[in-house]
Amino acid sequence: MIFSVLGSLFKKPATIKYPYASFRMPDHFRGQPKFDSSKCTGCRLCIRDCPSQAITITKVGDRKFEASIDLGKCVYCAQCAETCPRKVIEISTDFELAQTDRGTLKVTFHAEPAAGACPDEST
Amino acid sequence: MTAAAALFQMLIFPGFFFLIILGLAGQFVDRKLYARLQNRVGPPWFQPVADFFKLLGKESVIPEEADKRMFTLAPVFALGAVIASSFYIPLWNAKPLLAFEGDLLVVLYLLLIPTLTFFLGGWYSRSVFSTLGAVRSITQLFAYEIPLLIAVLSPALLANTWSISGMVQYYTSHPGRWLFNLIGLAVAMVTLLGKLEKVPFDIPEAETEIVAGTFTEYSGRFLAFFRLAIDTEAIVSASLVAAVFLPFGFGLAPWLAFLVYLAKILAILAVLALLRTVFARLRLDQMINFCWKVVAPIAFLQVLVDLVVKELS
Repeated sequence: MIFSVLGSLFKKPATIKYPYASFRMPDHFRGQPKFDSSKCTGCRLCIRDCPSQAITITKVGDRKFEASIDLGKCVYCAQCAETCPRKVIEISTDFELAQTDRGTLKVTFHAEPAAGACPDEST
Repeated sequence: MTAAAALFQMLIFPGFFFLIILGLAGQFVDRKLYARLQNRVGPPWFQPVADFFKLLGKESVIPEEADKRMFTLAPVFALGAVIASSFYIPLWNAKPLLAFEGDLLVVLYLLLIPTLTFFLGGWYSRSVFSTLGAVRSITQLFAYEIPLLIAVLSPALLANTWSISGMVQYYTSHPGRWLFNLIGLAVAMVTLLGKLEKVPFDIPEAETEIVAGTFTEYSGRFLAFFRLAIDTEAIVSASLVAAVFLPFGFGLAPWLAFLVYLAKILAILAVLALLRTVFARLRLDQMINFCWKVVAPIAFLQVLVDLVVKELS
């Protein structure tokens, strides 16, 4: 062990000077859930499986659904993504989600006719 | 020597002020090496100074049940004893500030006082964790002090004098003889870990077990001075080990001798930091067993070696 300890003296420290140095999480890291409303069928299995009732689905038109995720309630377990039969919910690696106002933690994914998911950070 | 010059030497350089600066620098070196050996970054160079001033600015809480006088005096005595013992140790000058025949023992006894003040401070804090830490600190004293004394006294046996400056003179006039004392150097390094309460012998201040041991109830300026005393004790003990076991480089030009002294202190601190990184904490009974059954016999071996060399020369 002593050789690897002494060898550490001559290597660069393993410390990443976050936040002054940028840092990417590994690929399968469970960060913020993202919702693609173009694929949603409104089955609401995600709401049934969410342990903290963080997601709500609202119907805004014929086969058009909007999702609203409360990032404060979400426990980032990715159960919604696992349960969804159409793979509508995708888990990104975003983890810098802190806000100073609790209201801004609710993220709404609108159903745009042309484009796909459109996250909007408003109540 | 005039009174002003003596005061300057005692209080500024190479006395009180210089030793404190060196103590803080030594703490930085120890923490930085400890971090780098673990692949971490470590604190910046001004961290010990910042810690000292931060602690001075905090509220100094004295527990209601504690003995106020002993609680406040313990850090003062620790720092005072450490500084006083440094006056007799030749740092880079072969002649220290004060010297007399027998000052080796006086220095060793003065360096005992910080541990006693840890005990008294912890005992008079009247708290469970403090009492545990204090008692362990004194118990540890019984374990490491005997091998340390024997190891430090064996070069004195060879040099036929009880004065540290006398020993330095002897080893400077008989170059190469200090190589016979390398076993003693190893013993002194191990017992130095115990004296300075560093891993693997940091039972009295086992952070994960008894909060902070002796220093649990200490805060503010009392803790600042206790920590300063510990840092300065590290430097002074390292200087003692360097003067007794590595007595070379005293005859060089003053600034060169100063650099040699700093190199010796750095080497000793580096070894202490390495041992701190690699080892885990020992239990108190393991430590006492180790010191009495392994370290003390090796120290006696050093005495034997020195007696044989003395007879043959």
